[in-house]
Amino acid sequence: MRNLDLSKLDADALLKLHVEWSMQQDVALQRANISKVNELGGRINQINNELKSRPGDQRGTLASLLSHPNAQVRFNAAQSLIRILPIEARQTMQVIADSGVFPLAGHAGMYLSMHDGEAARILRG
Amino acid sequence: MHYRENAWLRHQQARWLWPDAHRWVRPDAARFLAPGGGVADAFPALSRKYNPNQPRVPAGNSDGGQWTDGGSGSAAPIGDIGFGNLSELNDFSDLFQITPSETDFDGVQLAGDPPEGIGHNQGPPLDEPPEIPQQRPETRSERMDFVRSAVAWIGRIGRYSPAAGIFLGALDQAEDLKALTDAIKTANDPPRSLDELQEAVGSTSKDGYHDHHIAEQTAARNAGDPESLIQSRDNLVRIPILKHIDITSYYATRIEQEDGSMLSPRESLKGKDFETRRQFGLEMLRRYGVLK
Repeated sequence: MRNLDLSKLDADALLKLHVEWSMQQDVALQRANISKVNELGGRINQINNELKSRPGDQRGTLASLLSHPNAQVRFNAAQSLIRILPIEARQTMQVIADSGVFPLAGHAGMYLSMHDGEAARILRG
Repeated sequence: MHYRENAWLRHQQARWLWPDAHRWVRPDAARFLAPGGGVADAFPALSRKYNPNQPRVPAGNSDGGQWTDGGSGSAAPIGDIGFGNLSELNDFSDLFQITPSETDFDGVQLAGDPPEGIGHNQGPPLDEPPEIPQQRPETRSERMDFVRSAVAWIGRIGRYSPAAGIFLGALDQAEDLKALTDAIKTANDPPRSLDELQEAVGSTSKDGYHDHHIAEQTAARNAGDPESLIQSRDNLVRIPILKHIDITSYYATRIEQEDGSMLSPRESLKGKDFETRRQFGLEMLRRYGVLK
């Protein structure tokens, strides 16, 4: 997997990988296996950067994942889209934060807080 | 919360109510309620079956006040199953009675019947509790899987539902699983005030809880903060173990930044003063449903 050349994959294949790695990350997060969560997060970040680097910034293709049945997939898609589809991404994140299903609800709540909420204010000093 | 999720949660809680619970409400229950209040208002779940206009046995009769079917010439009480004189029980029965006041079933409702709109691909599948392992699972992953599934299930059906009580009671019997059981029991604690969370700190340890440093202990030591500040009452709270694990994990989780790089909250907080890290820690407690 480490030698996978993302630049050779089309957008559909990248979307499939985004979902697959997000679902693996879901399991790792439930098990509090943070090194695995970070490893998969790094890979998903590479997909975002690959889509961003393509003509016209193709990250918008991730929008279809905002309605995926798995909350971790929705969370990662929302995180990737927060700057290009802020309203939809924010709504998705808020629903996860309000779900009461932890730990992801806490992650989503903190994401919003660090994006433009209380935690962002605290960090700015 | 989404309407459908609400309906589903209500259904999960209702599954464990007796479908004929209305039969155990005394016919004269209204006299125990505040003036103006009705039995249907006090027990909305029973309102489908409760009919205040249903005929009753006339006063003066030994069964006076009980529901009747109203169909026969003699107003015979329904549900008299011949235990003889049980009048001495009246002092203890209050709103509920031991013998059902009605024996008819106008349609059978099974406890697991889904309400309209749930099941049959119109909602989440019906929920069963996770299987209790015979012995303590060997790996951390297996233990976490069991704890998470139990916590999620209890969260869905309600911490104080009879089914959750039965499940936790069964878990209590498994000595091997005690640490897991303690974590499961406390994970759905409601948010509490800072005073409440701080109150228990310093007393003897309590099963299912950990003392948690609001501003992280290791980061504070690395920053050269004095031990008196790190271990002060202001920086310690007693929280459910699972929340402690989740919050500690979050500190180390790398998050995509505006410039596309990945940084954990712990890395973002590096170089910040103690009070900033403490305020950040309080915000985490709020977002993880620990602090009101």
